Amino acid sequence: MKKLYFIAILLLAAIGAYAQDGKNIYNRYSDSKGVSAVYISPAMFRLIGKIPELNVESEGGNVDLAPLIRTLDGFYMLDISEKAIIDEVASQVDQMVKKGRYEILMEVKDEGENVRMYTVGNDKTIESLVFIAKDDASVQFICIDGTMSRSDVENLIAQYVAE
Amino acid sequence: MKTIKEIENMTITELEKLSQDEGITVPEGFGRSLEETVNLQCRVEALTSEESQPKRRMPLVWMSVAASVAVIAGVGFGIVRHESAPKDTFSDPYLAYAEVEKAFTKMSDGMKKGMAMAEESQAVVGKASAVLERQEILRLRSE
Repeated sequence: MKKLYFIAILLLAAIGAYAQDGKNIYNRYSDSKGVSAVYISPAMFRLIGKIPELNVESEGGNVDLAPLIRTLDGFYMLDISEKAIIDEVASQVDQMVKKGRYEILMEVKDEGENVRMYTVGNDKTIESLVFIAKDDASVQFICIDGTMSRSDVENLIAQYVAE
Repeated sequence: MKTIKEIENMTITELEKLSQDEGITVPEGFGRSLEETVNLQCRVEALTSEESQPKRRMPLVWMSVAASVAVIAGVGFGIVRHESAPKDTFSDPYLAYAEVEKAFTKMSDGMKKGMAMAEESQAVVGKASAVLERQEILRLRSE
């Protein structure tokens, strides 16, 4: 009997551990008041990948975004201006990051705004990219899932920074 | 008068002979009270045999297991259903792509801020190292 209770407790704990990722955070808050939400599915990314001109101009020449777009599995974005849930969302993201294999890429604190970027992956690929920018009035949460080439992502962000 | 032990040790044949002996008188109502005693004893034996049987615990255990599994499955199903894939915000891939570009722009804005702050701090560090170099030169000259 004790074994059965123990197994039941383990199963419940496993369900609890299922909780946190970008999709779950998006699902939890996307319908809340004061939240503007954007979700792009893998199917939509495949359609985007078929758009003929997805090039970005840079000093080194044009970069084709299509290969990067095709590796994306999901795009979740929340823009929250409702003060009641700003801290809650930020706390949920903190928990997600602590529980997962997230590595902090960058943190900037400036004039009351806190901006952080996290990645999950290895030397060659990024499986998830998380961005959160929080100040007193709003919080923006972006989560991009996929199997992205790390060098492609770094080049892309570097190009946007150079603009 | 024979004792109970003696009667118990008698054979069936001897008991039959005794029953046929009309010299032995049976008290009035003896048959009925004997019958009642035997019935009572049978009932007592039946009750005690029910108590001595091991309780059927297995069905209750399996019922509790089934209930636990049903609860866990229900919770799990509820969670999975609740966390099912959301609906696409855009039906036009161009609009979806514009949103992706906006997101990368936001991320790069954040990185630009960080890099600007790093450059400012680098200027301060540069000044400090220039001052230290000058002091080192002056010290070497004075030696």
